[in-house]
Amino acid sequence: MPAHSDVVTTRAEELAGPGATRALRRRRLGRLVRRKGALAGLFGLLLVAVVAIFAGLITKDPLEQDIANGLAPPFWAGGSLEHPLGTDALGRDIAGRLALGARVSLEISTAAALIGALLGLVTGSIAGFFRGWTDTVLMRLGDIQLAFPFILLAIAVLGVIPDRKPIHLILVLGIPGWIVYARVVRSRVLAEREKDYVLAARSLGASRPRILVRYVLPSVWQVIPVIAMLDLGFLVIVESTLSFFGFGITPPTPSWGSILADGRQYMVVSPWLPVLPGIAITFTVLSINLTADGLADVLDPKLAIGTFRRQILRLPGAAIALDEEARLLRVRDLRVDFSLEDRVVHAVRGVSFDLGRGETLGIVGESGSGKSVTALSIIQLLDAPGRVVDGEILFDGRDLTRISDRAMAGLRGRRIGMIFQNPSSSLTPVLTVGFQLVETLREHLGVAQAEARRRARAALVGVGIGDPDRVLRRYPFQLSGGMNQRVMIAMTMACEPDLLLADEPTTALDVTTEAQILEQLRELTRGSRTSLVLITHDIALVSQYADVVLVMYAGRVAERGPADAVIADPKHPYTKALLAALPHVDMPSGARLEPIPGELPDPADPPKGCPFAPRCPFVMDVCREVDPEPFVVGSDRTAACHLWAPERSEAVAR
Amino acid sequence: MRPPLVEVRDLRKHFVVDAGRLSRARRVVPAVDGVSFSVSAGETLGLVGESGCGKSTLARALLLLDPPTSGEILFAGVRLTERDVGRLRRRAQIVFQDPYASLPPRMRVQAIIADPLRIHRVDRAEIPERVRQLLRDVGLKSDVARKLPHQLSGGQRQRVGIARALSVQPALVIADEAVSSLDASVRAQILNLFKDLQERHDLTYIFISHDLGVVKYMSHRIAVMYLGEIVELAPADELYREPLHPYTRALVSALPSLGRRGGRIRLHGEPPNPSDPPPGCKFHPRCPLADERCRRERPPLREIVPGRWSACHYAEEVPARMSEGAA
Repeated sequence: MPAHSDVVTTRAEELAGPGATRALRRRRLGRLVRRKGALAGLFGLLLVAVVAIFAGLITKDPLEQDIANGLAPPFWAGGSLEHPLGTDALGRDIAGRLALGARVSLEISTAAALIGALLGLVTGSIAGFFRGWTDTVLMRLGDIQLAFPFILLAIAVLGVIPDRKPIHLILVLGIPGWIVYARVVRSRVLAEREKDYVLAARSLGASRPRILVRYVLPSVWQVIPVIAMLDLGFLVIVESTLSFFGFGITPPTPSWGSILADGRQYMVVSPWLPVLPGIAITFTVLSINLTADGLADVLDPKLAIGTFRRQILRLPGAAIALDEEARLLRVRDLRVDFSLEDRVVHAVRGVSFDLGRGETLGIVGESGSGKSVTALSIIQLLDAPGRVVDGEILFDGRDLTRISDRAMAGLRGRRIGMIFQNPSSSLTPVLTVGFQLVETLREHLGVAQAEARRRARAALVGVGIGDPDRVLRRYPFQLSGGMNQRVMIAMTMACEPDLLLADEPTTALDVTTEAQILEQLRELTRGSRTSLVLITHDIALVSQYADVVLVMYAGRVAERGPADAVIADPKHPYTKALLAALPHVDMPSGARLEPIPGELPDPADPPKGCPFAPRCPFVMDVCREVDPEPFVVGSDRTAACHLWAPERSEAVAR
Repeated sequence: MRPPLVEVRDLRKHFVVDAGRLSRARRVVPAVDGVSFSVSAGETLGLVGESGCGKSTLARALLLLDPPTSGEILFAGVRLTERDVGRLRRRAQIVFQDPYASLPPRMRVQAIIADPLRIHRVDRAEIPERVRQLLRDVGLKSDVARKLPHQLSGGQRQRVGIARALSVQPALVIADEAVSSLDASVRAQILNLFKDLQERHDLTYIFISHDLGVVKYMSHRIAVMYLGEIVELAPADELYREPLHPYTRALVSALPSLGRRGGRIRLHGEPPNPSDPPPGCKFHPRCPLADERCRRERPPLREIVPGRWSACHYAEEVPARMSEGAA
């Protein structure tokens, strides 16, 4: 379900609003801690670090020899508490040696990881930003290096150094790591440099180094910590391996690898000797990797958002009687919440409307108005954080919020269709358009292959595609966005659903194509075959194609009524203001638009009372306190505005 | 009429693309294919056309962000060469469509607006006051300076983008779909802001949009682009009242307009592929007036009546013949 989850996760982020992002970041540490694996990893790593830091203080001197007391067993195997983990052949304290080994191991690995990260950041960003031969040379160098066994190289270099100090190991382990970082950084830089803000900086005269350092790098370096963490685990193992083979730090300074190598010789006499450093290595690397996983989750919050799951409403419905008019769709007091980590966003707050057979309902609203969420609730495709919490959606007598998943799946496509705004994500890229179209028609209409193919061609012609056979043979990625959208629309319409939900169906298309497709949709509603819900931000579109219009603002219906009447004589101040703020071609030249002052309300924190009150020119005291209910303002018209409250409406002569 | 600030003569921007995975042949995509126009100081020239018509490519070529393939650009009467890039960066600026992508995500507003000033070596002591002034100019409160782009609303972000463009005190501002991603209730605020700033700072605009209503509201004159060419150029009112090119006519009639139903010219066929434009008049496969001559001969952009240009062999007959067709 990629298309749908796409739609809703972005919407969830949109809903969270600008203020929420910062709050989200503040909670990242909290999230890291809440993940059990990451917590365990972090704790283990901390433990190793504490031991390493206080190595000399909490244990005995690891270099002091006491040959008389050699190969003492750990305390649980009969040894004394003076040497809790026993001693080696020279009588040196194992606990002390392991602790000092931890320090050596972590020091070398951490420093090496930092060097690799720094080199990789520099080379990767230069390669990605400047492209051309710099890029080619750097990346091919990396390829060559990766083709050569890294450990052999390290051994060759370390073998010729007689007195190996930590710095030697740090350089030998750190420098070759650059390529791992460089590749990731390069691909991130390649993506960032195409963004408009880089173009803007260029147009302002910023030099290329300045663009790279001040503009691009700040959005790129975040990939480093996760790779560095994984790299760290790898380096701990490599360092141990090298010292195991005698290419580590020159003795007597202990390292886990050399302790393991020493112990191997006395395995029969003192079996714990090689096991203990082994445990230390495994424990440390496991802790590091668990922490890295947690870090990746934290830095990419999208991983934390749940996946699609429909929830059946358990509340008893009000059981509205279906009248003899046989309305196809009745929505009553629909409420949708998005439960975010720290709060609940009420995206739809009590929406009600009716839709008759063959009718077209236009839902107009700006971002955050709840118009798309309403549509997704009807077809029951709301994504994870979003949930219908109350209300009823009666479709042909059945409450969609309360029927089983199977029953709902049977309705989707066949009786309720939906067209999304983004065409490219709605078709499968690996199958031809023809296959997808024909299969869908066979499945939903139960017709034979030849008949399905005939209908598919007809459907494509219907949306203005001149040579349907060519399009049927193509894969979606071979067609333009506009063409894919037409295919989607053709597919949905060919199933002749009773109810068609079209969410900004033509927003991505050009005006000439838009007109064609909307005419086609209108054709479909003729003869009461299909009822259409047309969701758009474009009030002019609705005025031309809808019978009834619903103007939504901040999750509420501001105004409802016949489209002609609402456009000609808007009753709600928001509708009025929206029309006055619309630049249209029939405007006399020199006329000035009247913008709506202020900003759209934050969906997570709508104002008290009427949501439009802070921007309303007619605001009264009551508006800031009480959210108005929909008052009747004419035949089949309502407006949720206190100006139209029965006791006040006579006084208003507007 | 004031002297032209920008003059463009036969500007071309061709992209070379690989023809196919296995073939070594290259294909040339004429994204901007011989465009000429001029913009007077203080004027707004609207540039309208559907996706893929080359309007954004034209904007980038004009600013030498993507150097043009051929043609001349004169800025304040002086011919621009690649060496003049530095000078151009202080005189011409661009405001982008997507206020999310056009601001650096990790930079605070203060730094976003101050950086161009530093680049152009404005006295450091002056910068904070200049930033405050610019924010005030675009209608933002000074506390916005401390915020990151994601903490702002779409409208606020676009205001920051405008303040950044104005920071170098340009003469020309190109608005490339600058209000297309804004909500309706905020869009009018930004459009009026553009108008006020033009008056206050004597700016010249090239206002690019696919939205004919927006372009009409903003522009003195409008150029209509189709497949890399200007097909019609006229004063804003006249263009809408009586288009002299069949494409403009179809475009205007396709517009959803409040309360008006029907009466539109349906175009046939699909918008053609910019990388493989048809011969002759590029619009002929969709044009209701097309005949043999249109399939063969590319019509030049010519002045039909003073101030009104059209690239149609039958421009003079368009009003009469196409109103029959629509009825």
